[in-house]
Amino acid sequence: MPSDNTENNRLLVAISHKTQSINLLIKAKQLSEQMNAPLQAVHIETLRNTTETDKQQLQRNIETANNLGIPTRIITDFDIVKGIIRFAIQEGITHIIVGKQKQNVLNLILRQHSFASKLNQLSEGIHIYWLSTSAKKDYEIRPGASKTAFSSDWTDYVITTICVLISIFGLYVYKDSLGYRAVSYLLLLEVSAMAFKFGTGPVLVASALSALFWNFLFLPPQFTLHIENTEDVLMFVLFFTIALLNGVLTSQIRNREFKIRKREEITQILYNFSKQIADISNAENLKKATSDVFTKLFKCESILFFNDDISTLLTETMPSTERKLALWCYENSKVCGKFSDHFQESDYTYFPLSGLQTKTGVIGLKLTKQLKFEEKQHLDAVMVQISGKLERAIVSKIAQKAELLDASDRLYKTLFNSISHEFRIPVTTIMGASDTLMTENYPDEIKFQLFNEINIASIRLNNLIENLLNMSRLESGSISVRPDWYDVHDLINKVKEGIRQELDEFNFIIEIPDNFPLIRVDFGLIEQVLHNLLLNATQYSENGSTINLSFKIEDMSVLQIKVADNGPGIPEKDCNVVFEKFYRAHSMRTGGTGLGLSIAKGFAEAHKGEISAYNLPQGGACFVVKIPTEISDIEQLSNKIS
Amino acid sequence: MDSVLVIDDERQIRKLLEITLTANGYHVIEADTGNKGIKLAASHNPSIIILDLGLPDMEGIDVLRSLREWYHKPILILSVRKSEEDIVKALDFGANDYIPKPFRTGELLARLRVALRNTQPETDMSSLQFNNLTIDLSKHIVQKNNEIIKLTTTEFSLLALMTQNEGRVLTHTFILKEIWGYGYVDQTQYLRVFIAQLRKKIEDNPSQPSFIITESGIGYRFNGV
Repeated sequence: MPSDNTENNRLLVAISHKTQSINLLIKAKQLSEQMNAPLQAVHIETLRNTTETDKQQLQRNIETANNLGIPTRIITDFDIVKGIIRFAIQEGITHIIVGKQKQNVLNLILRQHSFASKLNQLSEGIHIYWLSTSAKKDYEIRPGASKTAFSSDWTDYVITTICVLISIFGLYVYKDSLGYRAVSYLLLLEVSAMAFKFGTGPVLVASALSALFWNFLFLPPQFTLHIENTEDVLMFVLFFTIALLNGVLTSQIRNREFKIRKREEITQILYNFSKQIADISNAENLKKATSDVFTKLFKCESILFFNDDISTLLTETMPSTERKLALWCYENSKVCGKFSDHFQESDYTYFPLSGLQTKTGVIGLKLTKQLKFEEKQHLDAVMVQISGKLERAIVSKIAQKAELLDASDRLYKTLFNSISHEFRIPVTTIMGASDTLMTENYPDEIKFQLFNEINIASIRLNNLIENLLNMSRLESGSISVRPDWYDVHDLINKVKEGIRQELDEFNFIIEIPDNFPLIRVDFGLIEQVLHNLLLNATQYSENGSTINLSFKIEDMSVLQIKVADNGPGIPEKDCNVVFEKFYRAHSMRTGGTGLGLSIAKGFAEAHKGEISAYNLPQGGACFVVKIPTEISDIEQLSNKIS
Repeated sequence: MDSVLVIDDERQIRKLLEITLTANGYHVIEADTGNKGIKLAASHNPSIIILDLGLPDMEGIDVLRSLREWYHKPILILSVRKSEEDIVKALDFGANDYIPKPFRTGELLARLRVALRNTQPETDMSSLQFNNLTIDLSKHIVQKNNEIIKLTTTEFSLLALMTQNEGRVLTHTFILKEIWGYGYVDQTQYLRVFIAQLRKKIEDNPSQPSFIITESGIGYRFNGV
């Protein structure tokens, strides 16, 4: 029983396609818990052909292993025993658990003996436990277990028979010059050659026919089945044996090769698929790739629903019953539809997709026949890929959302701090000044100054509100551009009127080329852009310095507005961030929310334009706005219409 | 004494208007809902109505419409909405002028005076005088600093339309319809060109006009004072 050195014990249980394997698994699990050692399960797939019922039972066994939390691997080997040992050595297994079947004592002894002796040959230090699995005898009859070896098409039999007959006829014509021995070699060659093309059955038939005809037509005495010479008897037996061996072995090799090739093909499909979906970033392509891989694997139609789709599933174009099934599959995480335990009347079979933590979607397959054991494994491989991909997408979406929330939370806090402060200053001024005016009777001059302060404070409040409203318009994306024809002079006059008080302190120079055309823009948006840029210039320049505003049309289609000041310029590292919300450089004046330039940028971009900032070589900052626009030459137009 | 009906739901605005208007010799009646406003307008028949577009019980534009069914004296729109669309709509529905909130009381009083003056029949409409600009409507002669200015027919019609509605904002649609006809209400480009030309001829400094004032997104106003 358990070895004393329990620390490094690793258990392996070998499972087959028999029902007893389930008991074996349970016992192995109990043992592993007793020994406190990790347990793995392995199934050795041999080249022996198995029936569908076997495969299904194996599938159930593997599922049971998974349910018990036993990691299971399937490996291929010619020999079960060798396979198990190879795997055991590879995985550093210390104990192998094998099922003991009671029904056949001889078989048991033989197997036990062979297993043990093979094991001794190959490896030392691996313990083997033969666990009794079931008292019930395994009476299961497995019909046609190796049927496919003889399952060649009847045409193959006809072809091989005809070939043999033709060659016998040809050889019979030249039999005198060849001699009966040479004929036998030639026939042997032919039968051997056939093994490359045909299955065991036809080759056996061909070899039997060849032997009989050779005996009958060539071997003296001719036209009898009697063989005189002992040497010839031996020859006949050898002939038959060699043909048989040749045929069977070759067909076995071909069979194996066929299996390997098929497996390779599928591996290739799966590999390509996993490579393909790694690069996919949108839903449509993933759906297409999925549908392609199922066409290749099972030659069937497929549909893929994501987590996102599930809610819209009810509006898809498929029949309502199918939609309900897909939804049922998603909600219950169970296979349903055709060939399954639930709702078999459906056209599709639905398989739930689930990642490590989340349900990711549903795959529907329009299968024509029930999936075989290997196909089920391939499907699992594909589903794991897809659900992995989907889960990554879901997780990254959640992360993104969290980040957004975080950003908006920070924005909210900054806004709150900055804005409440900005509101307080003018409100304090208004409260103080009006209170003073009410309580004391001051001379008119002082009264006027106080009134003026109230006025300035209220304008500042109004600007603040304007900025906030504009910001919220930008954030909510509710800005619509309504362009119309305007004269730039009107635009400038409107802007100047709004910040006359501020501009009065500066040497404000406007440069507009003569005969400047009409431009087609949204007046309100461009006015706000200009307003904010000019106000920004007044905030960051010394009184009495020059602020320059110039207009230009580029390439007959772009309005370029430049606002240059004589201030300290933008800190070199900040040229890219001045347009960010709440950015504020050290200002000449107090106040300001750090929203103005950000709004200017937002409005310029809403107008499909762009805005940039740089420092002038002679000092001062320069802001350039470029707005795509139609232009209309006033002179030309007036000649045309008057 | 002219009486003014103020229809606005904000108490502070009504208070401010009451103080300002009373101090300037108007009799003020107040209503805080559209329904009350309509009733008061019917019972008091004020000389002018100041109407806020955002009211709690009904849309300001509907109040305007129902007032205009029988009330033919001036209506001034007071609007906090910056949306030009609402203002243009109100003007096209028969409002005489608009004042955006927040407003300067000086401006409000000026608009009020203009609106009231426009209702009084002009004694002599054939000749108009604005500073250095004289317009003889019957003879189609325009003089600036006593020099005759040559205007095309369209330019003259435009100037005549604007001067006859001096101080009042005229929407683009209204001007285009009056001068060019219904088919041209979308041709703001035409209007810009003619205004630019007219300014060149009558303004001292066309890039900073003193007569023809642009109301951005809404229309033009002729400033005679």
